[in-house]
Amino acid sequence: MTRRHDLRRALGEAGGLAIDGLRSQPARSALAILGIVIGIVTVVMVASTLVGLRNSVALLFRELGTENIFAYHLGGEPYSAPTELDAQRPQLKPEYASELERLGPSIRDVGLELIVPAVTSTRALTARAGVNEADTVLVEGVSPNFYDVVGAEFRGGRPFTATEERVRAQVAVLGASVSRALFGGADAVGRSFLLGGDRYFVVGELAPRKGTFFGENRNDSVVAIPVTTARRKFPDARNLVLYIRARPGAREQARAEAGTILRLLRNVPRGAEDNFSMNSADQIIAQFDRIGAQIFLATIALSAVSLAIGGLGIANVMIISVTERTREIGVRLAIGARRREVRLQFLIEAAILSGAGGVIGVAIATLLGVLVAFVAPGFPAAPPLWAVTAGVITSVGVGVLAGYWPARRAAALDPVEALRYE
Amino acid sequence: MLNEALGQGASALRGNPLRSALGALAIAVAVATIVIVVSALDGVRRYAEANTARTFGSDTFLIAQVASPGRISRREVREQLARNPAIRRSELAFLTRYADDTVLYAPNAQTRASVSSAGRRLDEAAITGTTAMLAEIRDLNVVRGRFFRAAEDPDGSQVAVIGADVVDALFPSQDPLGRAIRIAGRRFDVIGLQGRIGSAGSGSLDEYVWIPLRAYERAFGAPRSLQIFARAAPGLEPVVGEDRARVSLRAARALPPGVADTFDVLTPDAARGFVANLSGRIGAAAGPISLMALLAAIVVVTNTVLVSVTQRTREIGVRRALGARRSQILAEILAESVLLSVAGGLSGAVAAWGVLSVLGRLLDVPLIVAPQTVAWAIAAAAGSGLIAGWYPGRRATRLDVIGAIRSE
Repeated sequence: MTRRHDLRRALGEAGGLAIDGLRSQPARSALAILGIVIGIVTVVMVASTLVGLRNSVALLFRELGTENIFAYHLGGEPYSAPTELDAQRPQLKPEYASELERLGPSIRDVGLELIVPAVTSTRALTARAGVNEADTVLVEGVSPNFYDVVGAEFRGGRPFTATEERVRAQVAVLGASVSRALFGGADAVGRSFLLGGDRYFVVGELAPRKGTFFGENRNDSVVAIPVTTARRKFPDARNLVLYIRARPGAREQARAEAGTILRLLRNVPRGAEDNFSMNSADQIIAQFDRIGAQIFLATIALSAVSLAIGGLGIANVMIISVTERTREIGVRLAIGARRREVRLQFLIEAAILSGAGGVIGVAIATLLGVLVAFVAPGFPAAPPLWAVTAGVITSVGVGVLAGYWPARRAAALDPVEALRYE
Repeated sequence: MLNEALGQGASALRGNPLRSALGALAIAVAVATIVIVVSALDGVRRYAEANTARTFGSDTFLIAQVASPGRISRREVREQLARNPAIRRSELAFLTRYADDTVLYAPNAQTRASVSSAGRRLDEAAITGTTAMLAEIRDLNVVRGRFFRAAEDPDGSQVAVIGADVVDALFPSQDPLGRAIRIAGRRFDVIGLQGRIGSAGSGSLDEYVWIPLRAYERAFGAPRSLQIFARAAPGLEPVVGEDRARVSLRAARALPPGVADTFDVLTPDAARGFVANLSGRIGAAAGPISLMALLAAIVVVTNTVLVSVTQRTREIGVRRALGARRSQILAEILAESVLLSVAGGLSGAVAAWGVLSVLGRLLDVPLIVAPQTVAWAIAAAAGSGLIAGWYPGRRATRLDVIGAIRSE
């Protein structure tokens, strides 16, 4: 007989005994399983919500183009108010775009995005069409090639033309939420609206972005007008972001070239620090992950408490089970069962309890995830496959951990004492 | 009867110390988690409140063209900007003239600029123009030298009171009092030093440079609109001061009755409401997660008590045969379950207190377990015990007496 065969027999026997043990006490076993179910449902739901959130944020930045380098003159991020130190840095100029395209062999093209502060101490911009008012619009001036550079999808209409840019036309491309808010979901192309006292005609309408942060994406709220129009209408807009698209696979080269060219254009002396910043989607996501990791860990730890309590429940049931079957264990040991086998029997019993809890828990969490997705679309709660697998494995692990001490107690029993036990 | 039930419950628990301890441990872990989460949230709120008081003064209110805590819609901002004119110096003068010793007012205008002295430089200092009155309104913690005199604003004196970070950056090894600093190309004499205050959430409160408003206007131009810090005179109710300020400014602007104010008044209560809202949101996520822990603990206790009932099947049968009532048996089992849970809850609360005091000392933030949190936690534990005992109790009272006596 091979060793493996021996092990399989031992496992089969121990497993059979374990199942018999569980069957004899259905209510108790069911409650022990329920404890694990509660723990696993909590952990899986929390983990998949967090991961879903993170992925959707990552998508939010990837939608800006993974091959793109973003350059802006501020030290922080371009969407928040500049500090005084940043404000002293010279702004980026739209002319840089053509220079970068001309001088950088790895640079394919450069899109422009001028961010117009919507709320200042003297104005608060809203967009109005008839009785509808969009209260949370973000206003940006963009170049005709911008949507091609970021790869945005149009629901209808077209990007700006070079002519519209040259003559500073009062035309606009609307993000999905703005379009819905102003025109109620009807075709917006060809219609007009008021922004800051001026009338603009809609030439294009974007499809909703896929990446979200709690169901929102700032780009869906953007009213884009030609960058030249924006510079004339909103002379206080200073934050120009260059979207530098690299040739395929040459992003890091493009970044190096762009850095050199920008330093040259901006007369940064040798050895001095850059007076502009460059970023890419991957970099921003990595930054987000660094900040998010602690929150992620704390939340997972909090949700793991209920799983640990479920484990305590298993440990308790196993201790009771060992105590009740002291005599039986004594008999088995007396007629030649090995201590290892006794230990295995109780470990398997614990693993079956917690494994069942894990499977049921994951099933319930999946169901709940589907339900949440149905009730609140955009809120990611459906557990991915890895969470399902991890949930079941963790629960079995918790069970074995919880069952270890009782199983050792059982295996360490003195057969003579155990036989005498009443 | 209650006493008897409690006694029986306690002895049932003592009969199986290991099993009881594990059941209680489950409740203890859950209760400790809840207490820690609640106290941590409470700590965040308290910390934010203390900061509001430090930046703001606890009885201070702010009068501004547009001031709203938290988010208000852009339409509201636009409407307020359209409706509310900028607050001017003449209006401040009017308010001060008709304050009648009931309200104290101090203007406030701020910008971020660099300040330098003898080759050293601090960027982004908070340069604030104000008047002598500010020291009466808020505790500015001037530890050496003095704050402005009343005449120094109208005189346009170029004097400054500086915060601890400014001292560190500009005068690492000298006594700053009487020395000169330069702001926007102008020379100011340091007349007072603030003690270290700390930070308020976003930024340090120690990088302030206080200069008289007139000197501020000369250096940076007149601000578009003034903010006015105010408080009721000592000994008066804060509400009296707010009312007086509101009525005076309405009079200055000749607003007829029935027309809304054309300015905003921000009270510390309103500012606090925003923070409370924020910690409420964190609680909305952390609360349900920690309640799941309690739910799991209830299941564990149910199981523990169920085992205890099953093992005493015979005993219960005999007692029922001898005339014990169902309610009596139920009371005993519930007592066992509640005692177990309360014991767990108590030890959980103690453990949470221990963890929080160690954490608080490590992080140097006061994390206090409020007595009512403990009371609620114990109550929750007792409630959990009742819920956990219900199913085993029902099983015990529905036992077939004959079958129970015959059981092994």
